[in-house]
Amino acid sequence: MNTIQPSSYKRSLVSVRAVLLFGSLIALVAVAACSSDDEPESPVPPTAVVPAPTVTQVPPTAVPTVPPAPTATTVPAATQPPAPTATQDPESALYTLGLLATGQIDPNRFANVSPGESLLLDRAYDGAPPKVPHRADDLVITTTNNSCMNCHEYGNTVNGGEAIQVPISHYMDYTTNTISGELYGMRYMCTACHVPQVIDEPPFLDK
Amino acid sequence: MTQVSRRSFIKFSMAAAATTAGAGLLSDQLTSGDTTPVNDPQLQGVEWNKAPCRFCGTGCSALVGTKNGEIVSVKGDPESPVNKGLLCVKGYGLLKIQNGDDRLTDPLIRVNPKGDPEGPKYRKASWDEALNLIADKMKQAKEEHGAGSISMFGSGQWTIWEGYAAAKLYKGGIGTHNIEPNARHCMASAVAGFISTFGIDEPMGCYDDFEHANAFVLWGANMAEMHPMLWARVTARRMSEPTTQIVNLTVANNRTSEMSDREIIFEPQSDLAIANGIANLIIQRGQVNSSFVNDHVQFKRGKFDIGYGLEDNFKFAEEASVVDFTEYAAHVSEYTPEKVQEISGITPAELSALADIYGDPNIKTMSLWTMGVNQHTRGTWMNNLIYNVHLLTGKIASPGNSPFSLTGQPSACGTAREVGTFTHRLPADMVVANPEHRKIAEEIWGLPEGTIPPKPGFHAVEMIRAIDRGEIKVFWSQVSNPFQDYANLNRYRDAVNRGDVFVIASDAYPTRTTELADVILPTAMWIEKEGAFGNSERRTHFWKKLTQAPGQAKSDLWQTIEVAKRLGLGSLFSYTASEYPLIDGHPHSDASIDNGFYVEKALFEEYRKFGVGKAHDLAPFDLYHQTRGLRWPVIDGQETKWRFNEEYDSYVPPGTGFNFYGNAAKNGGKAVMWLRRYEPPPEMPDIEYPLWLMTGRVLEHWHSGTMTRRVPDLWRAYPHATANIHPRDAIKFDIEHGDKIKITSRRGSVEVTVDINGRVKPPQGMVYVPWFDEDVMINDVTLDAYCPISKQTDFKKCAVKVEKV
Repeated sequence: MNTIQPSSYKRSLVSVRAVLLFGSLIALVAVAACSSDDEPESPVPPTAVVPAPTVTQVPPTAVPTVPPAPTATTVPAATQPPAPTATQDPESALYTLGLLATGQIDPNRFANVSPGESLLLDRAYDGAPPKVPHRADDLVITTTNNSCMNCHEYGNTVNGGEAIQVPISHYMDYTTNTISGELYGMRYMCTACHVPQVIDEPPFLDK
Repeated sequence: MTQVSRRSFIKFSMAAAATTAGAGLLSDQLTSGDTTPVNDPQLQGVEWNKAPCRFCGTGCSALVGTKNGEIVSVKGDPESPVNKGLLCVKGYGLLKIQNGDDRLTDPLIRVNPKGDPEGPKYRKASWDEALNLIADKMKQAKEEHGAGSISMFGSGQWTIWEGYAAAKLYKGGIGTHNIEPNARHCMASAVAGFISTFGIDEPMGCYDDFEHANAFVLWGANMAEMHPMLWARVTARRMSEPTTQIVNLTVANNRTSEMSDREIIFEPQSDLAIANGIANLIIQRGQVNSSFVNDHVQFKRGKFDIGYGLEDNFKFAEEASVVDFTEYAAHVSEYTPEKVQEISGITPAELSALADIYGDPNIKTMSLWTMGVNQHTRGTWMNNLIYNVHLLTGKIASPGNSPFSLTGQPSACGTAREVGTFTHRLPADMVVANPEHRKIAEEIWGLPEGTIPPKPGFHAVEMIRAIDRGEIKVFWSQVSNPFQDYANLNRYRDAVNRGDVFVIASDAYPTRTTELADVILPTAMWIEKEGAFGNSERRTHFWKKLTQAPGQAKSDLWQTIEVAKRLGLGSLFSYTASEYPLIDGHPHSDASIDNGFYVEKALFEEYRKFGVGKAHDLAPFDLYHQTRGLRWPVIDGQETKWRFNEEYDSYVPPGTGFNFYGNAAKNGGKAVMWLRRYEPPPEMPDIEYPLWLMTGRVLEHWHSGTMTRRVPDLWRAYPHATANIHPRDAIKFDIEHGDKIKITSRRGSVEVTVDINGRVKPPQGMVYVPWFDEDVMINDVTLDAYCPISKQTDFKKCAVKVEKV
């Protein structure tokens, strides 16, 4: 797991997501079945189990192919803004988005790296959950919008599949041993296991 | 194929893959929670053993991989009914908690006086020297000042037998009840709530409720960070049953709000008004379950204006009188939606929405709470009030209808509560003030009648105040970090530095407590010993010793027994090797090996005697090593999922349907609904100190961070505590994101970096600081007010001011 993969895609989230969905699904199923269900190293199937569909679909909710013009040092735009569950009125307590977006991040909790511009980090050990190598301060997970899945959904191939995809195991319901097209509910809160890292923090004992 | 839905496509693909790859392999990969690359050569020859996680009260089971005596991997346990194969990020961090570079490996004795500005200095000592010194200090203290000058502070992280041995040593040996767990800071209010309402401790329901409930109401519990794997079960229920509702009733926006269908922000302390307001609406709407209330409920009025425990030697005694439903209804009728809004800030519509959930008999409802309700100067009242709402509607003790008090620590239930390591308690809900109970304990412990003192000693806050007053001469801390954890810490750290108290700290790492210690005992942790915990749902679960502790480190159990021997109290722990022989091939702990018999089994089998036949039945020792734990009462090997319900609980007399048998002697088995009211907190924001300070935890760190901050991956995930504040307040106080600020209360101050966009997003008028960071000693600022009934400190509310440094 010492792979360092420079990631080249920028902030163009998008319709490729659906385009390559089917093909990569097959590949990943094959990967999952034959080796481990770690993040797949290659999205390209050596041999397709099922013929890849030729029809491509644009997601019904059309997403602009042009990335929104980034405002200076604002929040990362690599993810779609989550559907707010509450008002963004800063007078209220109910703000859930990057508030008054200062463009600053908390250096205590995040590397100043946007999604899509990060390097893979080593896992803590074989089998430990991958860490989040980018800032995630404005990513929220609601019942209707899991921000992480915008890039990391299984079968999702943002810019050639460089965003790590959620392995198939995360779609399996342990209680029934069945797999569905939705993340298994217990896996829905990505942030319970996958946490961002401050890259350049000296070790605890150096403080 | 072109029209195939994504869902069915995956199913189809998986079926195909399973056929080709072999279902067994696939299943193994999937249920291992992607933690084990099956073909990884490094994991060949790894032995996997179960061990409950040693962090929060959820009680997840981990599979610990060891190879050549070293821990090499940790993964979720697919056979665990609690976490079903998953772990949170702290759980994965278990792999590295033992391996910090500054692990304590030798007993250390202080060589310079306390309060030396140069800081503490220690020299290495042998175990014999350290233990003899401790025993001498205890003997001297007892001789000069009485047994009441000796004390011990432990936690809900003691294993069951460690807590049992410590309680036996103090209560049955040294002759003082001055033993307390930090669980006093954690769930004493939950205990007092259970005892006053049901006459017996711990939840009637269990985690199976998560899969039955249609609504979850969180009372000040940020489960997404504090109970991540239980939150995963709530999330799973919400995502699979879209009609399920989650309401986050909270004083600040937090991560739990993200998945909630409704977030309701209320003023600190006003939950008292909200709970009464819900009950009022239920009555007004005619939604009371009259037959349940008539058959199973008794109404009582207690004292009002009960104080806040701010004075030394504060005393409180409840005076209760039985009242009727009419009086109860009149009491709650004051809490109209308008009145509730005035106190709490929540709108009548929000209150109505809550009453809609609780009042509808068809919505199976779970209430969930932890520190928000328990760390509260009216914490016992709040526990009572939540039960009131469930009792009023009969939505209790059946699948999905469950007022559920979550615990913070892995064995807050199993050790602190069930063993009874509180000053006033004995095992199985017995109390030292009851002569019958003392007699039972003396019989089981083989002690002459009258050995156990009849009066409780100091509760946790009073114990540390007694240090300041010079009444405590010996203070022994195990599995806790009191000199980072107590509120109003300045007073107590100063007291130790100034006074003549002899402090013993058993720990694995240097902490804010070891730096005040006269003797530091290097301590074996978690899988370096054989252990047992009891989680929030009454599940008792065991683990075996899997690795060797470094250097001279020894388990707390070993330490307690060795001190007992040196006090001439070794007979408390002298069992026979013929009855409890060491088992060939079993990885026995230091305590068993050095004593020549199976100490853990001997202690557990003795401890079991307290609860068998008394609705606290535990299974025989050996059964627990074979299972993923069992929920007591365990009758004929069968666990009990829902207590007080005839269908599930054999302690309920046949034909009664429900019976709250903890109150059998008092009122024939009825639950008590208490008339409790809103009373303001002792300190509120004012002109000089205009902000609330709330403290709490973060996902990545466990309590005071002494273990998790030494795990590199957890350290880098959240290295330092920050202060979360509302942006309008930041403007108001001329603070910018990233600034260093000073937070000051009437008791002390602390410097901390501001994070305006933090995980916790307080409303205006509040600042939030987690307490895990030993460099941000937020408890220098907090107030040591406590609930007069439970004696649990309110760490959630005090008044502060902030200024840019």
